[in-house]
Amino acid sequence: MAVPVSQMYTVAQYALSQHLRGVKRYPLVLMLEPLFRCNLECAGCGKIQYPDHILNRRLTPEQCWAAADECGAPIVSIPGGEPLIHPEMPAIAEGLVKRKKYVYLCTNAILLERKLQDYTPSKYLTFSIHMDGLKEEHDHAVCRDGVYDVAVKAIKAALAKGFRVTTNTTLFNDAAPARVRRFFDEMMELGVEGMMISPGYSYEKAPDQHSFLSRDRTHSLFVQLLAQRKRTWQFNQSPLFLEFLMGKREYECTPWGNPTYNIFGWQRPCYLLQDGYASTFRELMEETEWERYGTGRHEQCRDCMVHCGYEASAVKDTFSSWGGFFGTVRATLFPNAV
Amino acid sequence: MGSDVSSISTTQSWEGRHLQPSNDKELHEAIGRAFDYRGDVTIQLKTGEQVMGYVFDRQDEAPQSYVKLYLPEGHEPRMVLYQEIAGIVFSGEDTAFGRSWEDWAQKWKKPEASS
Repeated sequence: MAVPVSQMYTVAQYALSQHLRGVKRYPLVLMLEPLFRCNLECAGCGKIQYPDHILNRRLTPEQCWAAADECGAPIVSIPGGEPLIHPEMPAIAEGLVKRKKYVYLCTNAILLERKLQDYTPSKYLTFSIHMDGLKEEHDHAVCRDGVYDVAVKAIKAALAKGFRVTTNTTLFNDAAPARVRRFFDEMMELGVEGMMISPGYSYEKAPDQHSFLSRDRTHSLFVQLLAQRKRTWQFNQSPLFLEFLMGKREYECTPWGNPTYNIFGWQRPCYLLQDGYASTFRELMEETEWERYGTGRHEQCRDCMVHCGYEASAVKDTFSSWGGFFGTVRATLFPNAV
Repeated sequence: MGSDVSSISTTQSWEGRHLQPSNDKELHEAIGRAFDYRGDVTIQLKTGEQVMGYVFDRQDEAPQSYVKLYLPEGHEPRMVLYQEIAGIVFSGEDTAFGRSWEDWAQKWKKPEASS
């Protein structure tokens, strides 16, 4: 089982209670960016391109915990920047775990093995390791030789200490399906709990505008990746979202599903677009003109199929209709059924 | 305007440019450019004061339109009203420019993706 039952139960209970209470918009995953500074400079990444005085700013643990409390989402994903650079990250993670948030600490794993001693294994804490493919592809994607080997070593060390470990993979338009499938084999052989995959999509200011995927290309790629998938492959994400990537389902974007909080405040409208900031989560939810965003409504959303906009749509589908619920059961038990 | 917004292609950097909008439309365009810029800018106020920092937020539909900047030495953001702005200089390094995938690909031969 890719996701522990307790986590599935928590998310299910949360989503159902929101649905039964008639809440139209609710967050599922808080994207908490405590800093933008990174120890890699990936050419496709627009998250790190700021002046030094911005890269030197960090959220305090208190700001992180307050954001989690204010947002209320059961899952907190901590991307960046590289979170393990933050000197108070162990305290931030511990405070979130104390609040019974399921924390996905996203890291390139360069510092992970050295930092493991600062963390305590918990069902609430998962190290989500950035892996963009086999050794050649990954080192190429992160623009540095040797990072794949470091990450693999860190994954083994974290697993040996009893931590939950998953991988997160962004696929670009040059992805070779056969090699990505071999990469899935390799990750599962390492013993990770599950994998998260998402198509790359242009950040508003990302410099790598040519490597991102169009919708048709995304469908084609994910059909090649996920059709006839092996039983050993576990994906730590909604099975309906995977069907969406394969073009089997249509969803509208749910930008409020993964609200983003960083040193600038609550980011409008989503993790990828930066159209301004709100001071409070309430202001974000109530004053953002959500109807302006999404495929067909905003030019920059045209080809986006990224998890931060659509996985929440898939989860909502699971818990708001019998069709979605039974579709989830079927896709979980028989992922290769047509 | 000191420099025509539409005349600069996306493959060029705005670094070093100086915009002096002469009407409301040009002011909004100039602020939009500053908001998109991945470096510090210097905002010249009508009072003669110069405010240098990173523009991270702008609200151009509020009753009083404003931009927010983080100054290198400040903890709290500084808010500047649109109506106070006389000019914008793209004074800091453009941290996005020249860091494209193409630049990287030229330095590193891509692996064979077959088999």
